[in-house]
Amino acid sequence: MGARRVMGLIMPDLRVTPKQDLDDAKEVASELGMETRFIDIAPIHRTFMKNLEPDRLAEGNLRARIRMALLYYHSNRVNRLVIGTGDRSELLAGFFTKGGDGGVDILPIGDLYKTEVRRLGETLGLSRRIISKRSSPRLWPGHEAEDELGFSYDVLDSVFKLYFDRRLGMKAVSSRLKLDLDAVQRLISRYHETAHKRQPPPICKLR
Amino acid sequence: MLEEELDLVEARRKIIDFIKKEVTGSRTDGVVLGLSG
Repeated sequence: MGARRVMGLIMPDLRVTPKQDLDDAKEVASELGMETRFIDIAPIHRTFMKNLEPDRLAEGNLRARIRMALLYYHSNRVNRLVIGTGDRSELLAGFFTKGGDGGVDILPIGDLYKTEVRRLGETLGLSRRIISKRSSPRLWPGHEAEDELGFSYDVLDSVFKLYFDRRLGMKAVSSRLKLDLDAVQRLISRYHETAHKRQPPPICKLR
Repeated sequence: MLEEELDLVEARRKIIDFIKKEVTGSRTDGVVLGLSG
């Protein structure tokens, strides 16, 4: 397809996003030769919050939804598809914002677990520092994916692979991984509780 | 932790084909993605 048909948006909230993230994004874009746009979403977020009651989680999700709106603005303007960067680990765990990073046209790496995405990065020659970087949606200061999930992606991927791909029961997964049954149950519950995020809105059928 | 590993060379090929097919099928001119939040 060629780099000139790929546009990357760098959309920090400069009150939240560490400078290293911006440097990393610029480094990857430069290596691939792709066009970028830089938009600080802090003023947009502040404008919303002038009229809204504070709520940490809702404010965080608002950041993801502002980013989604900006992606679609650009896709609309230059007639391009919005590519989501969600992976199988995040999709199964429901670890994404509905109408935010979940609001995309296609999910090319949606069938790869996070640990596989990192291995793919190695085969592409990405820098070790970027590949091993802790994952974060940057929804609030200090936000880290594994902290919020309560599990490392190594553990989460191992549980999901055995449960969803190898179709083992929860007790067998627990035994195989030498992991507390309670931990396995919490991860699988997460999948069920977030089912609504992976489905289109239910329609009231009238005909 | 697990013995089975996905063939990432094949995965990479499929991902590239998938993106090309989706862009062509939707008659769009390319893709936009979020590089950083």
